[in-house]
Amino acid sequence: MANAIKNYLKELSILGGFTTLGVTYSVWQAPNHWPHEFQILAGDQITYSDALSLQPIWIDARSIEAFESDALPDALHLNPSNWEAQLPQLALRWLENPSPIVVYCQSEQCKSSHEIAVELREHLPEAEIYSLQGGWPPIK
Amino acid sequence: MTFRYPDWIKRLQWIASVILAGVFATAALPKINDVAKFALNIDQYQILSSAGVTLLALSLPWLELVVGLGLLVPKVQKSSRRLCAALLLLFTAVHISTLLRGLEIQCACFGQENSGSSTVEALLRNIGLLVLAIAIINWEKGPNQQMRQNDN
Repeated sequence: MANAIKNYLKELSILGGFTTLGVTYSVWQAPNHWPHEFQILAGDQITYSDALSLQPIWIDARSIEAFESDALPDALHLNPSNWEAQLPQLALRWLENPSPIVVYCQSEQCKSSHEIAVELREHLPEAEIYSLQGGWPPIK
Repeated sequence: MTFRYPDWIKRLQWIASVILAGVFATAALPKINDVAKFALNIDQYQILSSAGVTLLALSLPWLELVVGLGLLVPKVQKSSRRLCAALLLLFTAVHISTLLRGLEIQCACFGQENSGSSTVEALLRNIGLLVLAIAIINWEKGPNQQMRQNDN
């Protein structure tokens, strides 16, 4: 039994060693993408640095409490539960200045920015609309 | 009383190992060539954070390749067979979770972005390969050990 375990450990260390060598090769091949600059963007996402360069209309999809305590200057708060009241305000702002629209929510895991971006595209089909990768943390 | 292990089972075990090794190597190489594309594919499953996706995208293809080739190398065959079954079990669980969550994802298990298989196809293929991997492990025991287990 002890021998069998010893043999398995020996085999696993060989397999692990080769796998580590392979991973090292992949990391070495793509040093610019590892570890922090390796960004995965979904179809409608944009990074904070790219969004800044667009000088967009910012949409805050966090809770009203979070928005009131700290938000980007000129950001509009948009909550799906109060959609009808808030949408005309956004549409007006966009018509005055048709820049891209970027929606952010609380965290990397939150889905509301993506959902709002999808909804906004239906109401403002001409607008360029993104959801912010990473949510609020890259902004603060 | 001793039984000689039938040659045809050994041959069958070897053929099954070659098939699994081929599948694992074929699946691994395109992912190794394009880690970023594979990372995007993993991200669609909405299971891991960005850091987790990156780590998995870098390590999983190499693990698949090493385990696949290990199936053909006697010195590391036993562990490779078990790791191979464990990986297939993991992939099967991920596909089941994808179906349960109602996500529609093209698997791209072999790296083809545009001709990837649907979740159901990928699940069925994985179950087939898992049965093959378990059979290979089971055949290791040989008739003597299997008879002893049956006697108990």
